[in-house]
Amino acid sequence: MNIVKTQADQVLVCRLEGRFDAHQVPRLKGALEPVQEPLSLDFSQVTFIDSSGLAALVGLYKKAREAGVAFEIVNIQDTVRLILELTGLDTILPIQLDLVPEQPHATQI
Amino acid sequence: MKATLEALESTVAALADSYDQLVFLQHAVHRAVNATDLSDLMSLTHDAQVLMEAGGSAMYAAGHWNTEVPGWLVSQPTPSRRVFELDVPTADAPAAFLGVPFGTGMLEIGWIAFWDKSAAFTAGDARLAENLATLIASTLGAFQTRQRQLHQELEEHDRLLATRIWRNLVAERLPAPAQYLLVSRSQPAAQVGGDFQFALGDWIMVGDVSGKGIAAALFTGMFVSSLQLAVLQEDVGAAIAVAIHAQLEAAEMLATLAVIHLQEDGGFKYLNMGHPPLLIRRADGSTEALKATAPPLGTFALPRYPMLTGQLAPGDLLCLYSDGISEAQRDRADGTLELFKVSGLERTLNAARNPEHGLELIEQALQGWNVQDDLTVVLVQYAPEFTPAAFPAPSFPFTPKEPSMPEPAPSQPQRLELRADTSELSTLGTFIKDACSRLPRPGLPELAVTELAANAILHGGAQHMSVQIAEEEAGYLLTFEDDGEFFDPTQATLLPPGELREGGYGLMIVQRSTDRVQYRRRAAWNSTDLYYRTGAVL
Repeated sequence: MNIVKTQADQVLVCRLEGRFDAHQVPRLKGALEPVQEPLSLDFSQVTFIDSSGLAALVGLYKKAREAGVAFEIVNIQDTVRLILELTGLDTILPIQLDLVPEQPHATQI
Repeated sequence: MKATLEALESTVAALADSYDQLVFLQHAVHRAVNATDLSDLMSLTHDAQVLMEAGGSAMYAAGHWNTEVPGWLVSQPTPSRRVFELDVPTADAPAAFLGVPFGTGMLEIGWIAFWDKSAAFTAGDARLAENLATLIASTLGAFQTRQRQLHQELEEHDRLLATRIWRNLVAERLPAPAQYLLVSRSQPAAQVGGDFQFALGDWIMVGDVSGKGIAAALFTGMFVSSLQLAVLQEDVGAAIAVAIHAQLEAAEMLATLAVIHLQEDGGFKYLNMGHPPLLIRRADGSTEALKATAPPLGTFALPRYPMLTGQLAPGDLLCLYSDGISEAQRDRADGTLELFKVSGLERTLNAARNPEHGLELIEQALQGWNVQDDLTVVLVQYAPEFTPAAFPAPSFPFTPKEPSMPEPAPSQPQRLELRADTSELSTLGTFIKDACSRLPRPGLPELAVTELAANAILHGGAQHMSVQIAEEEAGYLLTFEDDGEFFDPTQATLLPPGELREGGYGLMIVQRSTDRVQYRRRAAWNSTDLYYRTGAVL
């Protein structure tokens, strides 16, 4: 699992790479919490996510709402779309289909 | 005329004094309600002294004066009613004195004293002092109630903390060693009593730390940590004693421990450090007791702790337990106390067919008995024919069974065995995805099995897990097994989809991503079959 963070127009863009299951979720939360600024999660490189990962996403979304900052998930792939559809979260989480351009000065975690 | 005027002035002065006292008492009530300690009440007494124009005041409560007082006052007894003179006259006694007792029955008992007034203390002063005394007594009573509540809250907090620590350390159910059936039950007393059970591979241990609450829970933690290392040593008992004995002795606590190492051929070796005897109910109905082989830890340490050996035959039932069972008690008809005793347990086990049945019988037998301590029981049966390795792989039910059509030969099932650890989920996922490549969505079985595995690891306390994948013409059968706590995913309550919540998706994913789910308990293993048809797209 990798998380590549970039800053774009006051939005923290995080490109998640690889697999997000119960083993990686603590690291994911550690890297992205607390949510204090607009957050865009780029899922273009996510190969797998399980219910633990979903729960973490919901948690991040709730924290963003509590903090009053924007939150979006972009570029989801079929494997992720499948689990979102199975759980009905595809209609609840703020998922955008537009691509987010690659930003310079990325920080890899 | 002059006398009338003086009388009028005196009345006005008395009225003014009464008014001042009334105002003082109104404020005093408010201050007493908000008082947090004795200094607030002493301040009130001092203000009353100022109002009375007295030179000194003091409060006697909780068996002592709460401030420095003149020598003549120190040994004065608490008066039984308002007094204007000292009970014990002394040469240096003040000319004016007022003493008022407070508190009766459940209320705090004491008194307040005022002295050194230019004139004698008046009846109005005495009423003020009495009202103040009543207020002080009530406030001291409220202090006591508050302290009791705080104490109870702290005790409850400690109890919950001890229970939480203990539950994190002591598994509710233990995994079965290969070739054995095992059931266990671990139930803490209201005040955690320090029982623990622990299994590591073929080792099973049951122990009991003296004491209760957090101290017992912490020693349990030390045990669990040291046992993991101790079983690697040649002399297990000596290793445990080195790790624990001195600390127990220093804390003036002791602990009993029963350790048994089970072998696949039914042989075993054991060590009993002051623990109630381990019981073996032989297949022929006879019972053997494996009594203490060493003193409890924390009493005196031995240089060596040799383990004794024994042999179990198929069907023999071994019982490790804590004294919560043998010391369960009830009142006889004649009012005397009756203990369940080890003999009660022996009788109960006599009819047990297997561990689960044995546990059921024990629970039935203990009905009507008062179990005051923690209750721990581990039942193990040597039953090599029931081990998971001996289970035949189930056949795939979706395969068409048409006699006229030759059945395609199924390929050899693929099997992967792993430690039950979240770090293995990735390996598990890759294995499944590769093996189910013919499915239109090979990610589905990966997803479902990952959910089962994560559940077994995070919530079931599983130590081992395996997945077997059988490829058939019509699809795939995946059998996921884990040695965690009993868990039937087909019976669990599903939460509705499409809700914004941080959890509760796992089983929904299992059930919605699979053509069919079947569950069965095989000895100590959860065994879940997941069916996927190659032609199906969910």
